[in-house]
Amino acid sequence: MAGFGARKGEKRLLTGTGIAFICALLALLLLFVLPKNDPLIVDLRQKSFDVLMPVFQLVAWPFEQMREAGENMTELMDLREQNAALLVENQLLRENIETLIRDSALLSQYRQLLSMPIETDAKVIGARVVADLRSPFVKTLVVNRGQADGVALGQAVMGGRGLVGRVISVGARSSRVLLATDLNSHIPVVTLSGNVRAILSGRNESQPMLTFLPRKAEMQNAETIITSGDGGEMPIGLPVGKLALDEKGTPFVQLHDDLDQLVHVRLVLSESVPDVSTPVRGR
Amino acid sequence: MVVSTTEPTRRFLQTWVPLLAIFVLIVAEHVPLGGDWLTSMDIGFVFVPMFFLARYSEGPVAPIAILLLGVFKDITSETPIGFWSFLFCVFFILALGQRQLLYNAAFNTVWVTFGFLCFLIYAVFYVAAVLSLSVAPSFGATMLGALLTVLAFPLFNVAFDWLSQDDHPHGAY
Repeated sequence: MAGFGARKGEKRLLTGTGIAFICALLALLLLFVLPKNDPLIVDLRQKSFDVLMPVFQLVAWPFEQMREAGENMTELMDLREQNAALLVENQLLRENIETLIRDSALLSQYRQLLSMPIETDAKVIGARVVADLRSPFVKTLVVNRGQADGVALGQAVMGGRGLVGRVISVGARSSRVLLATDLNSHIPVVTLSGNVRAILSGRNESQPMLTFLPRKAEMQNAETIITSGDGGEMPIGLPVGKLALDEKGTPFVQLHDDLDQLVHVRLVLSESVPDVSTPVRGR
Repeated sequence: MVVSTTEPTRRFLQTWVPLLAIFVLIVAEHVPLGGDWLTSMDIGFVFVPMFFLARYSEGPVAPIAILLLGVFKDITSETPIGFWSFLFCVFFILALGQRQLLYNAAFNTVWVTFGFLCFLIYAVFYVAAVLSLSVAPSFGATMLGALLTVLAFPLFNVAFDWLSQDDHPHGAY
């Protein structure tokens, strides 16, 4: 059997199939030898996204133009209806402002009475989703903000209306975000009215579930879920979603944001997030 | 469209155009398009240029590049390094085996062969996912991904067809 590019009468040690076999064996070796969550591999992935970001943006450009054109058309067609809805919403918000001002004043008075420290407002920065890495196995995104913008591990990531995930690796110009629906995502949450603490756990499906609930937890359907701030990684009180029950009676959370439609996200640069990248120095 | 090229140029294009196509398709998989149904399965359009590559390319570049592109897909799709590279190499070996069979074959024969290999590699994908990732993807979604890939074959084939015109690869590789 003649090998690669072998001329007449010429023999090669390895045929194309032979090299392909060696490559397959090498791949198999990599699969079983390399540790799956090795920090070096995680770092390699993050660096790759930093380098590849312009390529992702270039490939995404025509798709984005098409989507924007489609959205513009739809918006133009629905302009009248949207305007009417916005007027109603605006009226409702105006009515709520007065209540909020009063509540805010009362809250600061109560804090002073109880001598509670006032939490500093978390800084929020916007970011654009440059790559969607969701597959049957993982639910992650890549956003175009990195260390240079103050992004750090564990920071909360919000959509337009609520929490969508948290930062799991940070590069110079990009970061990877683990969505709340991923199997490896576990976020401490609390119900707003009942003050029931639980863990929001992803299950690689469209909505995450609530785990580690107290045995006699009393919860109402459509109850608001917010972050509890336990563990110190995320600020307290970030809106997450509404409680719901599936056919088996398992509590899950209907997230405020549609994770399929995420184009822009907000990164909550809370100060309480520990900087894992900085090594701790001994005295 | 018949492209008039010299033999070395044609050989160069037959290797590098599919490789570039595979690279672009791997990147394009991660373009945020929205739609949960898209993310619940792996549509392997990359297998089309890979199939073409196995049929026409010569030299050691193709299998080595396939391995490297597999590693690249592993990095970008967050699967363990070696997962997609192994699948890519297995598909490439299987497609290489059909080289003689598909010599001067009609389009339908080529399509059916691709379809068979595609379903086979998706079955391997399912087993490999269960064994190495400890996550069982939906079998229905996996097979649907294979079906969509097979259905897309004629579209992609048009793009690659001009590269193979008047070209008759012979015998063993």
